[in-house]
Amino acid sequence: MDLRLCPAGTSVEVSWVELDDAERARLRELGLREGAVVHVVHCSAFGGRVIAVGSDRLAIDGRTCACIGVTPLAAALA
Amino acid sequence: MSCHDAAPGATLATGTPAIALVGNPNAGKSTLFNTLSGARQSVMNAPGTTVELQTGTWRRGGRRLGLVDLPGTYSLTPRSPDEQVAADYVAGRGDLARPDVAVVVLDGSALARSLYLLAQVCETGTPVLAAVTMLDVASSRGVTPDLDALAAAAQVPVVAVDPRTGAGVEGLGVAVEALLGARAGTCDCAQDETDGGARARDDGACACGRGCSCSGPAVRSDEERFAWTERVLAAAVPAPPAVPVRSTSDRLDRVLLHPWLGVPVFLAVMWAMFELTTVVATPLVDAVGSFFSGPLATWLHGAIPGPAWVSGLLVDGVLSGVGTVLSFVPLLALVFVAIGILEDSGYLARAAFVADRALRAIGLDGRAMVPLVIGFGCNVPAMVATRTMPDARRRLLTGLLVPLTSCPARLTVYVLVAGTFFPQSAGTVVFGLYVLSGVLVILGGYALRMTAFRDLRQTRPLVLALPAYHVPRLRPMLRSTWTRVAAFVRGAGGIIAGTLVVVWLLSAIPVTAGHAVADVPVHDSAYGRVADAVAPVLAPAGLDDWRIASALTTGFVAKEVVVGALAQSYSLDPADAGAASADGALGNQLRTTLTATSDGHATAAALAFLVFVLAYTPCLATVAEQRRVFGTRWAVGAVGVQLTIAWLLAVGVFQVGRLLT
Repeated sequence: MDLRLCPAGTSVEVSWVELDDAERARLRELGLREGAVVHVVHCSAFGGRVIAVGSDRLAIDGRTCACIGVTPLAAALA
Repeated sequence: MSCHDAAPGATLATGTPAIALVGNPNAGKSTLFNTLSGARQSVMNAPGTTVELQTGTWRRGGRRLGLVDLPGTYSLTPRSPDEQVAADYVAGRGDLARPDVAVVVLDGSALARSLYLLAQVCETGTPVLAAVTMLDVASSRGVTPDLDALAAAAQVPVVAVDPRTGAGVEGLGVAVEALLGARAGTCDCAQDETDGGARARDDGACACGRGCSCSGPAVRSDEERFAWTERVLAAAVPAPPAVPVRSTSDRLDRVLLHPWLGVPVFLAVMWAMFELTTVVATPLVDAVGSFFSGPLATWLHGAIPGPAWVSGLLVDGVLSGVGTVLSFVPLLALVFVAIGILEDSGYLARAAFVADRALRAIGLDGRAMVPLVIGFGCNVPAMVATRTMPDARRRLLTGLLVPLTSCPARLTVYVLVAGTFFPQSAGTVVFGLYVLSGVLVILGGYALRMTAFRDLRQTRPLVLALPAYHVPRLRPMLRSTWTRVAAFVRGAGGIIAGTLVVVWLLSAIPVTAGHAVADVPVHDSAYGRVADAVAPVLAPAGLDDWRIASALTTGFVAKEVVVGALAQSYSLDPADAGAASADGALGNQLRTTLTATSDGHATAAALAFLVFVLAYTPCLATVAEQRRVFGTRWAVGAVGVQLTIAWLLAVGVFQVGRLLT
C-alpha cells in the first residue's frame, strides 16, 4: 500500500519510493528512506499526510504520498 | 538594505574571523544570528546571485567575530540557488572565502536530518562546531538528546543553545574561541579529496597523516553518511519513544491542517491580517500625511525666503514627496509585523502546505506560496524569494505572478478610494481586492500554463519540514521590521520623492505662451499635457480625467506615489484649490472628479480605478528585479501583459457596474 492510504495514528515502514533520483535523494536526506519507520500524525486535504520521522514532522502532498510504498506496523499514537 | 553585490569578505572587517551559521530551514539559525549580532547587521547578495546573505558582528569582550547567516539548506548537494550559495560558502568555492568556523545549527527536535547536513559540512574540511537548538520542542515530543554522547559520536564540539532566550550563547562563544585557537592544527583534507587524494577515517580521526585536528566523519557516499547519521543518532537518543508523543503543535495542526478546516482557517488568517492593517493603519497614515500637508507645509511656505517657485518646489515638490514616503511607514511596519508573526509562529509553512493543491492547479507547488505571500508585503523581496524554488521554469512562472499580488503600496490607494466611496464597508472592499488579487494569480498561472508553460509537469513532490509553533518574539520582530522599513525609505523613498519632484517640475514648466515658470495653469503645463494625452485611453473605464491619468502614470514608477500625485494635482489645480481648501478631503475631490468622468456612475468608476491599480505594473523596482532575474524579454513582456489585463479588467468592471448602478 502507499502512504496516501494510511490513516492517522498508524506506524509504517517505508518499503519503496518511486520518484526520480534527485527527489528520492532529498526524501532520503529528510529521513524518508527504505526501511525507516514513520508515523502518520495527520491526514490533510487531497490525500496529504503529516508524518513523524523520529520527533520531526514532515508534511507531504497527496501525490507524493502515492509514490511512497509502506508496510503497516501498528496503530498507535501516544 | 546595504552592501548588495558585495562578497562576504567585503562586509567583514579585515582580520576578523568569519563564523558561518549553517543549518536546516527553521532550525533557529537566523534567530541565533540575530541574538549574537544584535543590531550590527547588514544584508548583501552572494556574488553573481540574488541570494541574500546576512552578515553581522558578534562582539565578545574586546574581540569582534564576523557572522554570516547562510540560507537554510537540508544538504550540501544543492537543488536551488540558495542551497548552492550555502554549499559554496561552507566549502570556500568560487569567489567565496572559506569561513574560519562553521557553526552547524542542529534542530534538536529533528536530529536525523540535521546530522546528515553536519556530516557533509565536516567533509568540507572547515572547522566545525555544532549548536543544538529546539531542545524544548524535542522535550515536548518525548526526546531528550544526550549532547555529550552526541559530541563523542560525531567527534565535534557540541553546545546547547536557546537562540530565543540567549541561554547557552556564552558557552557557544567559548567553544568558537577554542576552535579558532586550535585552527592552526587543521588541514585541507577536503581539498585532498577533491584532488583525488585518499582519506580514510573510520573512527573519526583524520587519516591525512599530517597530525591535523580535523574531526567528524569522512564519508564518501550517501549510504555511508546515512549509516553515520544513524550511528550518531542512536548514541545521542538511545531510547526514542516507540510512538511519537502528541505535542501542542500536533494538536494545533489537527485543526490548522484539517482536510476541511485548514483552508477556511488559512483564509481567515489572511483576512484578519489585512483587516488589521486597514483598520489600524488608516488613522496613522492620515495623521502623518496631515502633519506634512497641513501645519508643516503652511509654516514652510511662510518661512522660506525668495521667489514663490522656490518655496513651491521645496514644499509642494520635495516636502510632499517626503511626507508621502513617511506616511507609508506605519502601514508598512504593520504589514511586516503581520508577516513576521506568520513566519515566526511557524504558520507560514502550514500555509504553504494548505495552499499546495490550489497552486498545483496553475503549475506550481506549495513552495510558491512563500514568495506569493511575501508579495503581499512587497513584490521586490518576493521576486528574490522565488530563487528558493528548485525548478527554473516554476521559478519563472512564480516570478511572473508575483506582481499580481497586492502589495501595501497599493493598499494606500485602496484605503483612500474605499473609504471615500464605501465608507460603511471599506474593510470588506479592501479584503475583496485581496481576494481578487489571489484570483488573478490563479487565473494568470492557469493561462500561462496553458500557453507559454505547457511543458510543466506536476510531479515535483512537496515535502515540508514543519517547525514547531512558537509565540512570536516581539523584539527581534521589531528589529527586523525597522530594518525593512528603513530599507524601504532609503530605497523606494528616493524614487518616490524624486518622482514627485519631477511631477512638480513638469507642472511648473509652461507649454503655452504667456506663462512664467511655476506660475502656469496645470492644463498649460507639460505635466497636464502628458496627462491629457493619456486620459482618453481610460475613458472606457470611466476614468477620462487628466488627474487620474497622471496619478496612474506616475504610479508606474511606484504605487506609493499614486495618492501623493493625486493630492498634488488637486492642490496645484486652481480650479480645484478653493474646494480643496474648503473641506481638505482628497476623497471628496476624487468623488467629484469620478462623478463627472462616469456620467454619474462614480461608484463603478471607483471600482474600475481600484481594479486597475491592483492589476497593472507594481513598480519600477519590481520590474528591474524581474529583468535581473529573468531577463529583459520576460520583464518587458510582463509589463505589457499587466497593462493590458489592468485596462481590460477596469473597462469590464466599469461597463458592468454602470449597468447595475
